Amino acid sequence: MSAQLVVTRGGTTSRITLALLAFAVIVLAATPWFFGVGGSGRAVALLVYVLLAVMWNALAGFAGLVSIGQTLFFGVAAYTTIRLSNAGLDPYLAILASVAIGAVLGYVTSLFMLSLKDGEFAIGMWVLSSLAHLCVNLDPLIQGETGTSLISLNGYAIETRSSITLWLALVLTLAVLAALFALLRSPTGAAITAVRDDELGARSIGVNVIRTKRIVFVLAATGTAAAGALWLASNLNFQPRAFFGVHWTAYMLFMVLVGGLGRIEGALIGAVLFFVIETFFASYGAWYLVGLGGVAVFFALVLPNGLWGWIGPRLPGEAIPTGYIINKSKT
Amino acid sequence: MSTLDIRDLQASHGQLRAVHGVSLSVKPGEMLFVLGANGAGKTTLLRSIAGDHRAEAGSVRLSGVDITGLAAHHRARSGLALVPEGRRLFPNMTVRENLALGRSTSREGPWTIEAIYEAFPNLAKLDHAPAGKLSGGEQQAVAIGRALMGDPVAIILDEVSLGLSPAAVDFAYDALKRVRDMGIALLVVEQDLNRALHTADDLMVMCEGHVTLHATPARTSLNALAAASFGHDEGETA
Amino acid sequence: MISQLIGAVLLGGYYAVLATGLAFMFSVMNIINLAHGALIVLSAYGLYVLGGMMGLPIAIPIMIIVMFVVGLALHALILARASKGGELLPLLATFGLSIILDNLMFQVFGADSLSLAPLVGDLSWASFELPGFIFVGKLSVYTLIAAVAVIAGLEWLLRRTTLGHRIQATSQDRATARLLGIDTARTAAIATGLALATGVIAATALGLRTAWGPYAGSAQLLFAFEAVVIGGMGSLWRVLWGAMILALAQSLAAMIHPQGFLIGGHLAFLLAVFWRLRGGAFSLNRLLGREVRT
Repeated sequence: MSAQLVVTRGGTTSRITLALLAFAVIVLAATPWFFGVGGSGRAVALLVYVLLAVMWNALAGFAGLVSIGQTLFFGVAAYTTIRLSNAGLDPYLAILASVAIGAVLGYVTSLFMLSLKDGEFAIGMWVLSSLAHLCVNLDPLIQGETGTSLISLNGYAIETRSSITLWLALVLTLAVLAALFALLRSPTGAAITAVRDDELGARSIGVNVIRTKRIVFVLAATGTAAAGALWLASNLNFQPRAFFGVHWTAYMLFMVLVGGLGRIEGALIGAVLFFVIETFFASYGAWYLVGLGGVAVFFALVLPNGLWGWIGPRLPGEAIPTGYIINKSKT
Repeated sequence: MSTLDIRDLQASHGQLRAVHGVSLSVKPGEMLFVLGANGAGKTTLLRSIAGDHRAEAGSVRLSGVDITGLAAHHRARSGLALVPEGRRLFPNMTVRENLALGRSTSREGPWTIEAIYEAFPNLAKLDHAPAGKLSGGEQQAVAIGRALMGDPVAIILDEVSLGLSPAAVDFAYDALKRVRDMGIALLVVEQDLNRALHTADDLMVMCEGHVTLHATPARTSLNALAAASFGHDEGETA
Repeated sequence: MISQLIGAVLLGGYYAVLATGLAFMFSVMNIINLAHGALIVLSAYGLYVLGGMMGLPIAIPIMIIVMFVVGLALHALILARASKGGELLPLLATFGLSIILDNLMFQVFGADSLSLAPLVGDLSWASFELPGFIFVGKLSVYTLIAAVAVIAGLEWLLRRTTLGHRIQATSQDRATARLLGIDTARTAAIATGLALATGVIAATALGLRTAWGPYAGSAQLLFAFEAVVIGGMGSLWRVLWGAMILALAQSLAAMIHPQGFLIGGHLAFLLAVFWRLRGGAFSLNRLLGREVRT
């Protein structure tokens, strides 16, 4: 009797998760017919939160990079969307172009920012975001904090516009999620996981830590840029403070810490939870933010692995399988 | 009564058990050597005794008082000093400042910086030198002096001769013999079996977390020690 | 031009006093406290309330004691726990704390801008006259003196006192410090308390020189951080030079473009980062001249 090792990458839990995700995608895609323009707007908000949470989680959870200034990519993408559509480009093409610009900006930024450690990187990104904010304010089109709107989007009827924006948001979110999933399952993904678990150890077995971090950083920049451009398309108004504001970082921190650092599932749960909380409590203004901060600190100190850190181990197998499952089958 | 009395100490690194129920005792003015290959669990044993590593089971008694539940700094204040592997001086502080930090135990005793300089005359002229600039042997002397400054009743030393020149090792052991003669209990981890055999009052060999040999120098040999280091029982365990 | 130069040097004094607490805390705890700015603004509100009741000269020492105790509590409740979980958690926790503090202060004190200037008569606009009709504000001169005094005091404490040596030992090698009998948790708590206590001096300068609102903390944190990075490492004195360079860069940029003030500071920060890429030998870990163990 010899034991044979059978290597699989999924299981029942992951099939159920896939079914749930597919169902969610169908419901979101059908939102314009069931919930109208308002519903589509909320659906875009949810997708933007998902993008922000998943990307910030990839950055903090996988690359070990806490950034206070991801608003750099969020705000710049919204700004370039305004600028490009003002120059005559179709607004939806402008959004796609801004996502590409976000990727390039991410790459350029990574060339010098990744040499900073922990807290230096965190605030250094904040300085960059603040610098971009100040420069955007200098643009005569923006007029400081007065801001402007994505006027050219008015060329579409409101129903058409809200539906297209939602579907574009859905496509971009799925594309970014798929890219992250593929990345994590690739050989680079093993390197990322190694860096996450033990940076020194990963370095000692020959993992190129900076390259690995750069890949995650550029992906996070791209996804966050997509979120910024979509937020603009959904809300039309561009006021620099509303895009570069540090409250976005607070949202990302909340979603990721509550959901679970270092797991895609955690980020998804965090985003949905944040969406629900925001729907009910956003009207409480500053107290709402006090609550978000408080819950985030509580999770950081008491449950650093978040809700998924509690749920995940209680499920048979992984929900979003990025590793390998090795079973011994006797033949 | 033993100064240091360890009973059935167990300690692990994660899932891996490093120390399996080790017992030992050291009397005042006695020098017990713990020998063994790398990874035998010696350092984990010492760190668990000093409170720098959490033991899972077992007890640590110092002069008859159970200190198992105390944090590391409280154990130090009870009179248990550890001279860690690599000396771990504070490199940008001077010799005098490093020695003065030893007083953090707030214990009453005969040791002052001047007394240390009398015991280690070569340190006196290095008074204001940064500890990081000293030779390995000088650093070892400062580390022993720093431990004495806390007026301990027992000193644990990890890898005393590691990285030292032969002359520096001789000097360090001369110093340790004088410390022993003052009535302080010494627990020493050493790789050099020959040195241990000629210096120790009592010997213990560990392998894979177990004690494989426990004997006085008169009743064992270099071969027996070497064999026990690799887990071969030569029938000499006490 | 000369008066602008003098102005920039004096502004550097303000940034230095702002940055010292941040640098001190990093050097002794290896924590970049993202709530540093919010805690300074909190101190400013404390000074405003107490100063209104009993005058600033009494309010300042009381607030120093209060913030020292707040520092002990901050360490016990948040930092000690967070720093056990790796490098990320202290950042996340202190950022969360800054969000809480910012918005709590908004709820309690409202959006209005407050100032401590009315509490000190004419100090905030009085000036010394130098030869050549150059006027320098008394307040900024006193701020610079305070910055030098705070840095000198902390340097003396770290390098010359038993407590300072214990703080250094705790920051450099916590395990060995404990084995020597040092209560490292207590030492780290005291260091946190000291960092927050120096923040009261910064808060006094902040409240006297400008009006501030509940969300002023993040700007102060950025100034402090930029001063620390530009200054580079070795001792707290370098924070002073970093603060001066930051203020000079800002003043220079403001001369070029009316809205260039903040941009100039950020660019100086970026230049410092580039410099470090080139030089490579420059890191926050060197704040106490700490060498990588070989």
